[in-house]
Amino acid sequence: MNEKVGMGTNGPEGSQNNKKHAVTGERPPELRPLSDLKPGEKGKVRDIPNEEILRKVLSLGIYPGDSLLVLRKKPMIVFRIGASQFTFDHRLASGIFVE
Amino acid sequence: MRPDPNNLNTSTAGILGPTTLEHQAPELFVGGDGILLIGAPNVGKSSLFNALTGTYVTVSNYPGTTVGISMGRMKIDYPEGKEFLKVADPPGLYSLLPLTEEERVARRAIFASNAHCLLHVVDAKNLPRQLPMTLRLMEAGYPVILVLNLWDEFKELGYQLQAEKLSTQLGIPVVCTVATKGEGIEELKKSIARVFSHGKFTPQKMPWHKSLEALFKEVAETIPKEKLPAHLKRNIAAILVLEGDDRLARFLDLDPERVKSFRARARHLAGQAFSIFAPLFYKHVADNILKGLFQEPGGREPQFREKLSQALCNPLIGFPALLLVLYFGFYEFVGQFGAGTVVGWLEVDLFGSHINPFLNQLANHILPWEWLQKLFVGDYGILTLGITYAIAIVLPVVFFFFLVFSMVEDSGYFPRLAMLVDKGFKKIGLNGRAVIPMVLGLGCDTMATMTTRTLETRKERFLATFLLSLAIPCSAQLGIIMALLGSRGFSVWLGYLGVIILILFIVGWVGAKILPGQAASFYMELPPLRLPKISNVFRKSFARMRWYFAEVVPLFLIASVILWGLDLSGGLTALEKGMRPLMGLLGLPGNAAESFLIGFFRRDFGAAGLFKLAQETPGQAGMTTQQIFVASVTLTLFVPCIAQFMMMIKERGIKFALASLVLVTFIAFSAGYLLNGFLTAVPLL
Repeated sequence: MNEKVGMGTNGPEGSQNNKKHAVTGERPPELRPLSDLKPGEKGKVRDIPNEEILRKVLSLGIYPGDSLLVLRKKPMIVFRIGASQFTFDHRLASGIFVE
Repeated sequence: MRPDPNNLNTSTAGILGPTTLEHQAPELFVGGDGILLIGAPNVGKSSLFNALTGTYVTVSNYPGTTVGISMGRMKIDYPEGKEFLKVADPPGLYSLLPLTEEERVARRAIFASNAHCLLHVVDAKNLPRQLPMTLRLMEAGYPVILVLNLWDEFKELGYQLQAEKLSTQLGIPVVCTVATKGEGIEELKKSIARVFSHGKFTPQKMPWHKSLEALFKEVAETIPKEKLPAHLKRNIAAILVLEGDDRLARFLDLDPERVKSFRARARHLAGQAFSIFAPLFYKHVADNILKGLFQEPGGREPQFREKLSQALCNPLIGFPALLLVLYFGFYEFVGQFGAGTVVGWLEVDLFGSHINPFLNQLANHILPWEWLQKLFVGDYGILTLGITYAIAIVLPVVFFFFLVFSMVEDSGYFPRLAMLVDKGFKKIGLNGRAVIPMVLGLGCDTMATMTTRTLETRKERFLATFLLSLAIPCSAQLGIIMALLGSRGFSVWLGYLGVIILILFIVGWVGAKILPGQAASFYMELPPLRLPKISNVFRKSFARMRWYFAEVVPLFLIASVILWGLDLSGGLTALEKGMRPLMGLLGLPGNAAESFLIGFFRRDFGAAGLFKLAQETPGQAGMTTQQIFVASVTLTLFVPCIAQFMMMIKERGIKFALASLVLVTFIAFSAGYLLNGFLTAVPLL
C-alpha cells in the first residue's frame, strides 16, 4: 500500500500491521462519506482528504483504521468508536470517508 | 495576572494572561516540587485533583468548563516523613497540537512546567486512543505516571488490561484509579513518592526512522536556544514545527521559508504530510505496545443509559426536556423559590426589618457627620445597599442557579444540548459549542465571558462576548425580572422571553454577516450520561459561589461608594436628569432613569431598582404592565455590569469593549423605543 508509512515505524515493535494505518493513496470506489451512513451501519475510517478536518479528527484521537458505528443521524450524526461517542456536523462528516 | 505559584488554595479560572505570551509563562512551581495533571476532557481529571488535594475545584461533565489552571496541594508520606506538594490542574488537552484556547493554556502549562512529575490521566476504556499522548509526553522528557481512571466502569463493561506488563513495556508507573470514590489514590501517592525519591526514570525511546531523526536534529539546530520555552526540548519543538505548529514556529522566530522546506523534506521522508504521519506513528507505536495487553469486551447490550442518551439527542425529546429543565429548574426553583421566597425572607424579613434598622441606628449613634453615615447606611450605604444586595438578593439567586446548573452539567446533558442547538447557533455565527457560555451567562455573564475563550475562532469569540453583553440576562437580573413579570402573568413572561430571543437572533444574524471569518465546524465528544453526585453538585456550587463572592462583592462595595459619591456631589441627580428624556421616549416614568444608571454597576441593582419602582404605592402609582415590559426588555439589553465590562476588556481588548458598550446602549434604547411604540399602537398587554 504505502511503503513509506511503515518506514518510520519499523522500530523494535516491528511494522507488520502498518497497512491498517495508511491514509493516502487512491480512494477505492466503495468508500463513502460518513455523512451517508445510516443509523446502525458500521464502517472503518479510511480517508480524510481535507487536512484541516484530518487535524481535528486526529486531535480527538480518531485514527484511520478505527471501526465506527453510526448511532443516529438527526439532527446531527452521532457515532461510536471504541468506548467513546462523537458528534460531528455535516461539513466534517462529509469529509470523512469510510469503507 | 498569572497563577500565583505560592497560592496553595485553589485559585480558579481565568488567571492566565493574553494569548500572545503563549510560550512565555513562568514556571508553574516554585522550587519545582509540583505535580501537573494532564488529560483529555471527561477523563475525571478534576475529580482526581480533588481526590489528591482534598480542596475543591469545578468538576464537570462538559468539555471546556474548566478554563485556567487550578492549584492545590497534597500530602505525601515518605519513609522519612511527610511533605506537601503542589498540584496544578490545567484544562483538558486532546493532543500536543492545540486547537482551542483552553488547549493552548494546557500546553503552555506543560512547556512552562518544572513539575517533578506529570500525571497523564486517561479514561481506561479509551486507553488505545489516549496512549499516543502518553508516549508524546514521555518522549518530551517529562517524568510521566500513567493514571488509568474510571477503572470501575472499565471492569464493569468487561474490558481487560494487564496493567503491570504495560508499566514494564512503557518504563513508567501505571496506576488504576476511581477518583470519585478515592480508589487507587493511596497507590498513586506512593508512586508519586517513589518518583520523587528515585528521581529520573528512563522512558522508552520512540522508534523514529534514522532519516527522520536526522531531520529533527537539523531543524532543532536552527532553533535559537534563548527563544525556547523553559521546559520544551529542542527536538520536541522541531517535531511540533514539522507537524505544522505555525504559532510555535513564529514564536521561535524561525524563517517561514526554511520551515516550509523542512516540512517538504519531512513529507518526502514520511511519504505523506508529516502532520498526518506523526499522529499515526505514535498511534502505531501505542497499538503495538497494547497488543495482547488490552482487550475490549465483545457484544455490548444497549443499556437504559444508552437509550436515554439517544433520546436526548432526538429533537422531539431533547427540546421538551430543555423546556422542562428551564421551567422547573430555572423558573420554579431559581426564579420562584430562590429569587422569590428566599430573597423575600432574607431581604425583607432579615435585613429589612432587623439588620438594617439596627445598623442605621448604630451609625447614627457613633458617626458624627451625616455624610459619613450615608457612606455606610441609608440609600447608597456600603452596608445597607452593597452588602444587603450582595447577600440578600444576589447570593441566593446565584447559589440556586449554580445548583441547578451544576446538576445539569454533571449529568452530561450539555453536549447533547450543544448538538441540538448547533444548527440554530450557526445562523448567528456561532456553533453548538457556544451553548455553554450562553447558558452559563444566565448565571453570571462575567464568568460566561471568560469561558468564551473555549470557542475556536476569533469571530465566534467576539460574537459570543457581544451577545452575552447584550441579550443574556444574568441570574440575579433574571431572578428579579422573573419576579417582576411573573406577577403580571405567565404570558407576559413568555412574551419577554420571545422578544429577547428574537433580538438575540436578529443581532447575531446581522453580526455574523458583518464580521469577517466563519464559524468553526462543530465536533464534540459526547461523554456518557451520569447521575450527578449530589455531594459533588453542592461542593461545586459552593466553589463557584466562593469565586463569585471574591470577584463580585468587592465590586458591589465599590459601586455603593461611587453611588454615594455621586449622590453626595449631586452628580447622580444630574445624570438622572440627563436620562429622563430618554425614559420618556420609552414611555417610562422619569425616575426609572435611576435603575438604568445603577444597572451599570450591577445588572441586578438596576433590575432591583425597577422592582421597587414597579411596586411602590405610597405617593406614587406602580408601573403599568406595558411599562414594566418595556423596561425589563430595555434593561436586559442595556449595558453589561461593570464586572462583565472589565472582563470584556481583559478578554477581547479595550476597543472592542468600548465599541460594544456604545452599540449595546444604542440597540437597547432603540429596541425599547420601538417596543413601546408597537405596544401603544397594538395594545397586547
